[in-house]
Amino acid sequence: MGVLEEKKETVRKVVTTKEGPNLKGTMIAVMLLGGFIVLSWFSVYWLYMVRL
Amino acid sequence: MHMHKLERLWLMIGSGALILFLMVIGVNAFAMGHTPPSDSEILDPTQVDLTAPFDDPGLKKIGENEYELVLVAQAFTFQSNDEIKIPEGATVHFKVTSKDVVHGFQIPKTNVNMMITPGHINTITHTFDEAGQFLILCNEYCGVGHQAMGVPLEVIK
Ligand SMILES: [Cu+2]
Repeated sequence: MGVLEEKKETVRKVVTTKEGPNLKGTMIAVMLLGGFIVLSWFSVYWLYMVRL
Repeated sequence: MHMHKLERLWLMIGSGALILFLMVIGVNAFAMGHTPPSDSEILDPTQVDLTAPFDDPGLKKIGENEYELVLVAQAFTFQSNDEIKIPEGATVHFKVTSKDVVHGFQIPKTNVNMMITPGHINTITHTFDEAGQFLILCNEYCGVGHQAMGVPLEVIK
């Protein structure tokens, strides 16, 4: 009986954990894509200026 | 509500970009007066030949090194009564309309690129700082002769 209760307690602990997901890799990937987009904006602006 | 700090940062960057772009558009439109090439001036597309200034298309000097080039786009050419020869450094105001369908109006190696919509007066301005041969061409498929639709524009010293 005692062993079973302990097990239940452990399971509940895992489910109610409030630790957030690790988003560091997500952030880096998104910033790399963002950097590429910003770079392409500046390329278009540069093209506009040299053709002015 | 709990939010991950990176999610919060991400949302701030997104909202900031949105606000920045809306401000850029606002300043462009209201403070600098930028408009799309096809403005709200309209004319009867069946009466182009009788409507000024398109009754006499061509190059007109309107100021110190400033010209107005009036052209009538029609399948498959751009009509002008004058040869298009522009002095180096001149600012040219293009005024173009179409007699038939939608045409394109592009001068490669410049920022001149607009649609020529029938019934509208389409305007764009460019300053030619360097002498050379340019080509005004149609970049909007307009019919079987589309690929031949272009006229030369020369910038002379
Ligand atoms: Cu065409």
